[in-house]
Amino acid sequence: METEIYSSLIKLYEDLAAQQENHNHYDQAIEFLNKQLENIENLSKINKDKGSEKKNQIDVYLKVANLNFQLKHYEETLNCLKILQPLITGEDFSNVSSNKDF
Amino acid sequence: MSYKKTPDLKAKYEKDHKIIPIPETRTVVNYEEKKLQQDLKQAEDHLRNSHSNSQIEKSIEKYMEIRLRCLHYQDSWNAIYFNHKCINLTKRYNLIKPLIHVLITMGDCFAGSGKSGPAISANTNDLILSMIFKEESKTLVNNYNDIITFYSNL
Repeated sequence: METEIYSSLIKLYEDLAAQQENHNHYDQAIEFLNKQLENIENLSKINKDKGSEKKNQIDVYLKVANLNFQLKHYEETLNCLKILQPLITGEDFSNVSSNKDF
Repeated sequence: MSYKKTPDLKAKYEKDHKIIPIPETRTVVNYEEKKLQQDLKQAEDHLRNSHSNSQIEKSIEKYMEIRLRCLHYQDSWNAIYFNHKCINLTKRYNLIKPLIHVLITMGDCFAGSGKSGPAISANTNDLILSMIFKEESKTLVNNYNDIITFYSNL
């Protein structure tokens, strides 16, 4: 039941954020994206398959970073990118970073 | 505000009942009207004889079946009416698990799209209403044990 609730909330916040973005209400879109992130994190706590949630997290953080950049909130953009970096390197480029050691 | 059917529930209804309905056909309409009256009567009988919570739960189940049928025929107003009736009943009798379920389904009524379908064109107010019901169900799930303890101590 929890999974169903979190999944539907993630979808809802995604839709709401997209609507707000379409209307150029970037602040509200960011608010909904943050709520989406909150629910993705909750879902990843109860879900065994962490891969898809991590990918979703990366997508949402990228959107938040992009919207903050468009709003000229450069500090928030940078914060998002800082959060993104370990998420991306931990997920996809772990082999690359270990190869560097050689 | 526009109230749209939820395609997932419609598909579920068709799958569960293994039928391909033709709403234009009078016999189907007659059958549905008769079935609706029967189900309403059953739900109300359960309520009248509600000596236990299980009777209330049976009544809620019947109302939810009617809700699903309403959605199937794109009758969103009545679907919301019956879903709301269930929310009121579950709250009145402190049936927490069924309450969580009916809150989720009420949220589905306003969601405007299936799990994978786009909802960009959906009404923002409807999506916010959907969010409110889903958030309420989330709060109940997260505090389920505390709520049960609270009611058992009354």
